[in-house]
Amino acid sequence: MNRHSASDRSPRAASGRKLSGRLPSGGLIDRGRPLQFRFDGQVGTAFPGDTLASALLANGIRLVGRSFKYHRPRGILTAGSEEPNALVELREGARREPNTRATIVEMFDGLVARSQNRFPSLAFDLMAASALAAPLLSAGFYYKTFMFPVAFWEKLYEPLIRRAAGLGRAAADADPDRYDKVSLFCDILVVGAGPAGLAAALTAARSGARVILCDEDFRPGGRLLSDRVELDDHPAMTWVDQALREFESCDKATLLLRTCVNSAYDGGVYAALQRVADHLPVPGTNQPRQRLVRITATCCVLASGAVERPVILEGNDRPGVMLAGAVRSYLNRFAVAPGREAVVFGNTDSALATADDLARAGIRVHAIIDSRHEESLQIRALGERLGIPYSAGARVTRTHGTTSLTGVTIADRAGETRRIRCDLLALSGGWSPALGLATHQNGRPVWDETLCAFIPGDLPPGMFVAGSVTGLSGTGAALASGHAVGAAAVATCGLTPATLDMPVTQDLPDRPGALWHTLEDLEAPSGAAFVDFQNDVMAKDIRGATREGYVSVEHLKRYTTLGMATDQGKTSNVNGLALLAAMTGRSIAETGTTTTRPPVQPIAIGALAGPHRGRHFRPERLTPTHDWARAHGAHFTTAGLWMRAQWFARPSDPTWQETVNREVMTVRRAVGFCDVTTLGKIDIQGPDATRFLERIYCNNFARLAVGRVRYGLMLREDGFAFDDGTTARLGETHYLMTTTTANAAKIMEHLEYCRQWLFPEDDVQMISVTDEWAQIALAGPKSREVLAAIVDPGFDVGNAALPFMATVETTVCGSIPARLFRISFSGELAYEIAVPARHGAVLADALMRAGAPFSIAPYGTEALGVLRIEKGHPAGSELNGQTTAHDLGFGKLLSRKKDYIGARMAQRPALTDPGRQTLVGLMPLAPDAVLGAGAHLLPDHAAATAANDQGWVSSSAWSPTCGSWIGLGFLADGAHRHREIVAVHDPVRGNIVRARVCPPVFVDPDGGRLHA
Amino acid sequence: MPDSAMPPLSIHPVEGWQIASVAPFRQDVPALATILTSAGFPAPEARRMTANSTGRVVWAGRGQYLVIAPAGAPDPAQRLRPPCAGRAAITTQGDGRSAFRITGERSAAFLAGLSGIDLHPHAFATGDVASGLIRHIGVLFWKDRDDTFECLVFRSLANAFHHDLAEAAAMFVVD
Amino acid sequence: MRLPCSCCGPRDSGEFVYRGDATLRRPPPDAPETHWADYVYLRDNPAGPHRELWYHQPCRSWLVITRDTRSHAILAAEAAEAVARAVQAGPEAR
Repeated sequence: MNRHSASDRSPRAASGRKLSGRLPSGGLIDRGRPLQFRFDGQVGTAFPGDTLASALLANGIRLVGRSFKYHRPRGILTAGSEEPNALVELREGARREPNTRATIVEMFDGLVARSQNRFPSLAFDLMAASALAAPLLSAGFYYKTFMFPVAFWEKLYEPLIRRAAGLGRAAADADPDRYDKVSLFCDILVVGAGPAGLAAALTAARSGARVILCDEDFRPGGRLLSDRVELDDHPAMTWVDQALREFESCDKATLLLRTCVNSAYDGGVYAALQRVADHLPVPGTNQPRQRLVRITATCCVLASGAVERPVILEGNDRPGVMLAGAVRSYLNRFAVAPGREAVVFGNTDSALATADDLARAGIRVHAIIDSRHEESLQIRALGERLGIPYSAGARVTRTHGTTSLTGVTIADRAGETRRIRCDLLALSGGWSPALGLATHQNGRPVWDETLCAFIPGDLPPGMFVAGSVTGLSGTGAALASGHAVGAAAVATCGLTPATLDMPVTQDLPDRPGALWHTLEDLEAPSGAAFVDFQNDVMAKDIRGATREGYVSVEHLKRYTTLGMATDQGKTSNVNGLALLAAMTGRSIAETGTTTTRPPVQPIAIGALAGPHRGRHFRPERLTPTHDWARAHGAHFTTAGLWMRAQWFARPSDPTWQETVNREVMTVRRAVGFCDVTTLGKIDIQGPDATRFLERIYCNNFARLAVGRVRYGLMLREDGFAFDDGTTARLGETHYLMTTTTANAAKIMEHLEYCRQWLFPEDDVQMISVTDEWAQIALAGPKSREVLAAIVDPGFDVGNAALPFMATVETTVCGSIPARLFRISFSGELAYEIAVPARHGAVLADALMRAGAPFSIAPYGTEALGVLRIEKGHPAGSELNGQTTAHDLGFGKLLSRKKDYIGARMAQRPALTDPGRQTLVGLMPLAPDAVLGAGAHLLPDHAAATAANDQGWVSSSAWSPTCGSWIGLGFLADGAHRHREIVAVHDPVRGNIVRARVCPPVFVDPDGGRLHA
Repeated sequence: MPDSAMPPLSIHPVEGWQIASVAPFRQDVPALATILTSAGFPAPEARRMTANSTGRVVWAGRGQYLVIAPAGAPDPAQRLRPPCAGRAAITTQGDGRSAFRITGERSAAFLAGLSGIDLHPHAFATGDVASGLIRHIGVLFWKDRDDTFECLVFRSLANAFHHDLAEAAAMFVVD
Repeated sequence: MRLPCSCCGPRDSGEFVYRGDATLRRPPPDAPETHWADYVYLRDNPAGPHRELWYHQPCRSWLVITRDTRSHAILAAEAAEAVARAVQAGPEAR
């Protein structure tokens, strides 16, 4: 193409005829397999190897979105994951994902994407009118506007703001994809497969280390994919492919592409997100969409490269303004021309040399503008060779155009301005090392004045840095750095570093000059000079913040929202703080940077959840009679991790309430049974078992006879009730402790704490047997008859042989080993039968048969709860961590003769004050008035104020036995207020019920049934 | 990258193991060794699974061991109760635990991926035992052979564990 | 974060439960109430090495781990039982 064409072709606006941007040859794309995609309903053609961004440009689409606040037309700024503008809605339906960067979307056939944040269309966006309100919407506007009148906030302002705000629409349906979570181990993790990373990884692999090499791109090579570099006189990609082949041939080497290492945690743990199937229309069968990989590495070589900076100048957000490195990516990697007529503006030789790449692609370059005062001889020579005017000490001061770039204004060394026509501005303010991972453990980056960049400072333990992330530039330097650092990492792992022959290359010398902005007046920065593209933060917003006193870099960030968008300021942070420094008369080093935190790139919540979602959020624990219960019509509920039968519905029961009433009355009148396996069971044996138990429980256990069971209450060391249960003495030095279901694991932890730390002199062993034994409670006046029927012949279960609170070993159902405990939670004559768990269903069946003459029925947790409330047994609601033994009515259990956990602190006057809220029973005056748990107790007719609050309802239920609602609760000085009427206030349910205080027992207060 | 020639992974429940737990008093592991070897079982080793023709002795954390006899063999708890009297705590555990076997060329990588424990052959040898967490479920597992691992979980968690293993294996094999 | 279990080796922190200061000693039952109140409620909050108790759930071992609270660097790890026995055996330094 004739570079000096005389024809005056004006660049097309994006809304006009679309020119194909695809170059006739070149690029790392597979032209043999054309793909189709749709953007905003328009169909386009692309090739494997394209991103959505390169495909859009290839199809002449340059306007891709509207900015967040001002709805300004935006194009594609970069070619990488740092992209702030080209955010699209990818896919449709349940897989729709908003705010996806078009620059990292790997093209596939049938891809569908939509632009965001515009109505009705990209080209004509009504919300762009908000630009008119720009003076009102400056940084921090929400602190100053929409405040008055106060009443308008809820009804008008907030709904309006909600509709106008936000970026992108989330899908409304559940995510249909699966996500995986996996752990990997290695000696060396290499982050980044550019020249430095590849050299480090290859060195490590050759040395025999376990290496994992990660790159967020779908193709390794880093900048070598985009820059025209020769290694050993061949295109750099030849060396890349060769290095990779060798790397992958090592069996201790793992390559993870499409994998971004997001977080550097303590202890050499890194988290990476592998995008397993995002480049496919849908994931394959059993293929996760994404995988969160947790990598534990002895060493990490961070070779994450650098991110190019734009320049703050008026109108720098116009479609057609693109980073110079990105221009080279589109030209060389994707064979796409981002424009037809270009101006190149930058502060390094490598950026200005983009003119060469442009010219080779047949794009007319009107000017090379070098911000540095001193000319570059190389670039002058380049300009002369290509016939492009080159000016040093010059700058671009503003851009022109509406929805697309039509030209720029340039000010030369002398201050003379001229306007140049162009549709592409290749812009570069230099490179910022992508050192996020290096700063996740509070290491502050260090400002390097010569490089005009922040370089890594203190590194996390085990981390090394190589390549352009250290601030160096040039492929040769990167390769050498990668090899040296890789070798150092290998040595740290105790291996001998292998050698690596360095390919020969010519690095372009780079002398960056500071180029943050080209604003005339920092005191009053003009118009639309953007610092943060995604959050629409302009230079004048920074000026405004400093005027209002927000001069610390952390304040600036939060007041202006600079760096707070989904790109986390990758292309704006350094420019922003350079501006802050200039505006506040400080050096950049003095100004500092904000803290960066994981993740480096946004992560879908689904990836963090992995397989833990829905029903599998937590593992389910099933009781030994689970299947039996299901077969018998059980409705289940969760109790911690356990699934427990809540009730056993019958067709004759109209609702669950009737089911539960029936179950309760069956137990009270005849007999019922309930699976209580879930309560923790801990086997304790050892010469010091008794002494140990005495230290744990507040009440006496030393005098418990073998073959007897006792209720035990444990306190915390602060004197409050911790847990309770029944513990059986199976032998001289052998106990079986039970705990509540919820606290089983905590009690085990507590016992081990006491054993290993507090009382290491106690010789005792403990082990959980919760799962070993199926335990079924058999309760009701007929329970002895039923028990007798299942116990193997000859075994006496009479009142004398098996009295209340006794335990015995025997066999049931034809020699199934069993333990019987005569204990009662319901207040009826009752037993608990323990059999090895595999026999749980057999036992249940046997009980059904044996109990048939008495119409035995299984009962669930609901009836279990009603029965124990009727009997007044405290349970989890009463042992809530804020109640004491005295509160529960167990003051007499506290032994005065021994030391035990909580003994001392339980004696504190405040914990024994009789005025404390102590356990009482409550019955509403109107029997069907509902007592709600959580309701508060106030004196009858007292005003509903906190000052009058005297207690609360801890448990309540409809009692079919009493024909009334009943409750247990805690009332100030409750023991002395029986028969008093109190008001039960339930503001949540919206009622007040008058109830009579009574002793906390509603059935068989004398306990006659227990001892029958 | 998907590879149709990826070696398969198989996960199977193992039935019939008879298990007892033993833990010596006075933390006297040599005394425990004597009890076990006298009863025909192998000697215990910390963090290891030892096996002989009578059965296996598997370290279960902190001076505690599980003695496993195959189906049909005499019940180990019955066998060991007399010699353990006054010298070691013994309980039956055969109903409380469910066993699984994981076989496959890449079984180590699979299990390491799930457990967060390094199972590379250099870090974890045949006969090594680990007690860890897989998908929040406590697991005791050991390497039985080059390509075979065996594990124990609480019976109540067997269904959940099997489901989680199967789901992870399906995603692992496709990778 | 990875923590070293004296029994199992280095493991992910998700396998552990944190308890707190391992330098506290349970007062004798007849000690003044202020000693008990300090033991139960009062804690130092050092910026730097902290000797603390952790419980490794899978193997049920309690550990005394010295961790730098500023950097999470693990400086030492011992079985709590061994530490407790040593404290019992020798004169208390506290």
